[in-house]
Amino acid sequence: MKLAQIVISSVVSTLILFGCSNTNEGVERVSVYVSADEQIAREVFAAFTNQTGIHVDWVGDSESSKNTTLVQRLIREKENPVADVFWSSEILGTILLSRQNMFAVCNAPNAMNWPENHRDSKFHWFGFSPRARVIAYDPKIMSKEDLPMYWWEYSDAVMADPRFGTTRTHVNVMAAFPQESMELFENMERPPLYGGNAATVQAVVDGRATFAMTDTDDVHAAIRRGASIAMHMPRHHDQIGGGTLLIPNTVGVIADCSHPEHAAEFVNFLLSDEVATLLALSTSHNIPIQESVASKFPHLIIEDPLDVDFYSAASVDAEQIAVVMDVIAQ
Amino acid sequence: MKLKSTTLLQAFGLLLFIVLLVIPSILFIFSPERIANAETQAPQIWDVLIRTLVWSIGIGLCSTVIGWLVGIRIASLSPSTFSGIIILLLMSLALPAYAIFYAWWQAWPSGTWLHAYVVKHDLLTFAMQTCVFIALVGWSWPIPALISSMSNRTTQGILLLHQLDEVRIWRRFANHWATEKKLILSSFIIVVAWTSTNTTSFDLAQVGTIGNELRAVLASTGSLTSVPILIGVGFVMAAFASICILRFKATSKIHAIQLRKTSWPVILIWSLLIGFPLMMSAVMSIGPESIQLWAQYKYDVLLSLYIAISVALVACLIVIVSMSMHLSTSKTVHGLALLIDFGWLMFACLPASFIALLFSEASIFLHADLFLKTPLTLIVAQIATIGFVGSLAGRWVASCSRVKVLNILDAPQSAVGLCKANSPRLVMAMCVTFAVSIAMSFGEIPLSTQLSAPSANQPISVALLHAMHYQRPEIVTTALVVLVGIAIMGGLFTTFVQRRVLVLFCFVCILVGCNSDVPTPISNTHSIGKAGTIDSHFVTPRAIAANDQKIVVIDKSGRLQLFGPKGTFESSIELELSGTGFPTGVSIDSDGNIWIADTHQHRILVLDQDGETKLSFGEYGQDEGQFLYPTDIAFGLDNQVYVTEYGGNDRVSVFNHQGQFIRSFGSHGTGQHQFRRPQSIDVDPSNGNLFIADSGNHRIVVMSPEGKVLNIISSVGREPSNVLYPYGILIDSPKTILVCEYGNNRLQRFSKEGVPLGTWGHPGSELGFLRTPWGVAKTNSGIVIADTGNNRLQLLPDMMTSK
Repeated sequence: MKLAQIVISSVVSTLILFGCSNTNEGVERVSVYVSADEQIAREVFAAFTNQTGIHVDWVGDSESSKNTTLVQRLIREKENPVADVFWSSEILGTILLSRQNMFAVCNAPNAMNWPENHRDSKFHWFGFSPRARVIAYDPKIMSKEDLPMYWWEYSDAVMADPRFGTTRTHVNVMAAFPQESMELFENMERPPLYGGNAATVQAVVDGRATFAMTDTDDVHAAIRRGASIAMHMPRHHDQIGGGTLLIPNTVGVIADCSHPEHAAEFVNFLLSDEVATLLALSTSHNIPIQESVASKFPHLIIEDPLDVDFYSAASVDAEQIAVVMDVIAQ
Repeated sequence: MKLKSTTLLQAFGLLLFIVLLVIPSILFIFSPERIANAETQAPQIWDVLIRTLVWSIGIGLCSTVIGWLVGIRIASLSPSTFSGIIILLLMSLALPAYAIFYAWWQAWPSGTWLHAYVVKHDLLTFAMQTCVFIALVGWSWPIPALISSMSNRTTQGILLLHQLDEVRIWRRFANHWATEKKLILSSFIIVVAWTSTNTTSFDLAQVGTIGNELRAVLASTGSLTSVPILIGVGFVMAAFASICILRFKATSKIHAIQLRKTSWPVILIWSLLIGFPLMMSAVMSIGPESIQLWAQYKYDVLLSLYIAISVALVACLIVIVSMSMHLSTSKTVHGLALLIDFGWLMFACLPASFIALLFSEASIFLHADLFLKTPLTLIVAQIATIGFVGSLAGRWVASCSRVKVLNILDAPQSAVGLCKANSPRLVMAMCVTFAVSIAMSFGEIPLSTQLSAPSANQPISVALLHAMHYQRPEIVTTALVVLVGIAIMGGLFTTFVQRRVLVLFCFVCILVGCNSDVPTPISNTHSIGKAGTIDSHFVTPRAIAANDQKIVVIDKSGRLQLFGPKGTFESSIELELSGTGFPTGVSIDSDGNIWIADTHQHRILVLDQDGETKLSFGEYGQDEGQFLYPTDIAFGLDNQVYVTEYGGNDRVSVFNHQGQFIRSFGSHGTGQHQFRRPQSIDVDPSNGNLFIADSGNHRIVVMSPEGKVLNIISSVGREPSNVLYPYGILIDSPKTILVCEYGNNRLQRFSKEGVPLGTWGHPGSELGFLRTPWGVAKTNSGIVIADTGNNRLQLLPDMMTSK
């Protein structure tokens, strides 16, 4: 009875493995779709569980298709939502979801007191702990004084695929400067589109590129690895409010989700000083927006961020991306 | 009705096919097309197609030439060597291609002469593309090699004729081409088709091909209509590959040719293309950190194991039903079997992004939590793409002409009888299918990233992909070693498997899965603080010291907090900000002054009990009295102050109480008088000897005050008596020391002579469990530990009396 033994023992082992997997009935849980760096997200989830006793079930997104896969998944699941919370590492996808009425009102204490310029007017989503868009360069090769001042002068920079993540956001924001941005992309001469911002930074580290359009967290990560890399913050224009683009993390409670109370509690936690501190101290070095936390991290504060209307950027999204993809393919 | 249960078995095979492949496809077709955004066109479709074809054909040509020649040699091996090599090739195919690419890419990291040469000559992009080319050839050459070896071993005996006639080598190739060109062409097409839909390897190498372009477009639009050409090409390639595979028939004259040639050329080519880069990558990256990573990701690995075993079991079932259908004498059933084989192969060859979208839509269409909130959808999708292994294995079992004849003569009356009649060939096929399916499931990325259900853990391949993108080679290599280990185990398993071994393997799975040693918390513990930046809350508390009056803690928010001996909050002092980090060590002298190892300011700071600075000494540097990164301070019997530091200058420096340098000893390294990150130090009050937690060397070093090594307690690992990253040390009684193990998430007590006396703690966040603890101290209320990863302290009164 070889076969019977094989089948029985295999089935038993699978069942026992299944039984031993960490699904504890009765444990309070919340489902989070997250596109932030997995390692940092795990740290935040652990702190949340530690503080509230609520366990976090999560799904991440791959670096290369950052955020977009989860946005599509949420839209597909709209009629029968699986996620309770969407924690995005950028903002355009969140606005897109908001326009499709994907979010519920969140009236958690921290959410209700959240600054108006960092949230949706209906309390559907909230922006927090942004990262800055920067140019990464090798300080051994380039001196900071020689770096061009404006974004439009970096046509020899490499960038990630503009259909995804913060690169998409930045490209859409650049639509507010049509002439300059088109010149920039036209001068790029068929750049290879990298599989994520970390890959563009690695291209500079490896010596494959002089500049990389990227985010602060990817530069910090490379510095932590011991790479010779530094960041520069070019301007978009020379007026006040023309400086660095800050792209916030965003979070919202999914409409008709299974655990709205736990979801609100999770949003409340994400908007707390604890998480702002955790994210500022993390390898990502996100910029805290709460004054009480920001005062402890003066080195992270950006003096003159870009005044930006993300709703307008989201409105031109598809058209702008299509144009840019066409231009850089010429 | 003679073969009633075998008919049922065949019906079950059809049902399995319908449930796993046909129904999801129908649901997908009828699900509403959702276009979330205006269409984002892939702008360079023809570029992408041409690039894909150029790459695939190039790889296909190289792979087919290498594989076919090697296959001819394999066909000449003795039976036992032949089986071993076939299994080696199957297990190589079970490894993900991106693993081989990553190993090649990591085999010459920055800092090596080769990397410097490549950078100097501006060849990095070329080098990366070369790596992916070699890796994909390395991954795919076993396909033509397998086909060639089977073909040459079972057909015309051309090898024997060549040997007898002493035919010249070019003539031999011409003969092979003349007789095998259809098969050579088929294997070429299979490699081209499989390569063209590869996603992850090309993605990592920044080469835009059909696979990753399709992934990009489907990710941003969720709509097939935006890329009809790419989808169409994907279907055509998959259909071509499926037909080519189905055209190949390995018959049973397996021992027809036995020239018994040596196998070393085969092993050499395998080693050069696959074994060497994997080994290099492993040797360069595997270290004690890997054990730490294992602790972090073990539940992810277990989840992957669960999914993989589920997939493998169904694949084994497919072997049985496929065999039974192919052995049927009914032409209808035989035709159905071919159709089902074609279906399994199509799903295997189609771009994974398309399969992910299909199963995602189907599961949403069903609106059932079972599919949306459990790993079931991922398991079904993986079965759909891996099921072809079982289907082909079943076909192989049935292809034995002797088996066919016996089945006609014996006409087994039942399904069990049919299986018995075809054993041991069936057992062999199932074992190979089981092992290959497990390895394939473990390394599968595109489906796992898109179909995982929300869970506290994700399949390990998801973490692997993140790590590859975020350039974290230590995680990648550790995961790859697990993958290779699984592939090797699978190979050994299928080579030497016996019934009892199989049962034993299952029990090992059970033991690993259950982790039967249920961790128990440390009894009678009191938690002090929780995560936060307000008073009595912590953000990664690391430096800790205590005496009978107070507990001092410094965390990563840069605050020094004072507590009473029972954990009552007393006061908080904001330390000077540092952009790079905060103190990791603190001590209290006999006058109650607080001595801070201000690690990232490269100095020692002394505060009085009110928080006023009394003394500050040290500066950045490697000379006498200077520091790189000071870690801890201890006070000797001779009124001297001992400071440990790391950062390349790993040593102990001795000062007087006014901060004047006296002497230093030790250097960076693994030798007897060397340290790697001495993280903590304590002085034995009975004789002044120094106990140093040499964390990077995973040992406790006992030294005289003059720096003479007296004893080393060293045994790295996870077992009791081993230590892993000892970050804290405390002489807690006249005869014993307590070691705080960051890597093992526990406290361990030793006698001063190094005899292990017990361990306390397991990883976890509940009270009584620890997560990456950094330091340990003693008050008159008990032992207090900085439970760093849990953002709290734990007071352990019972540890005072524990033996």
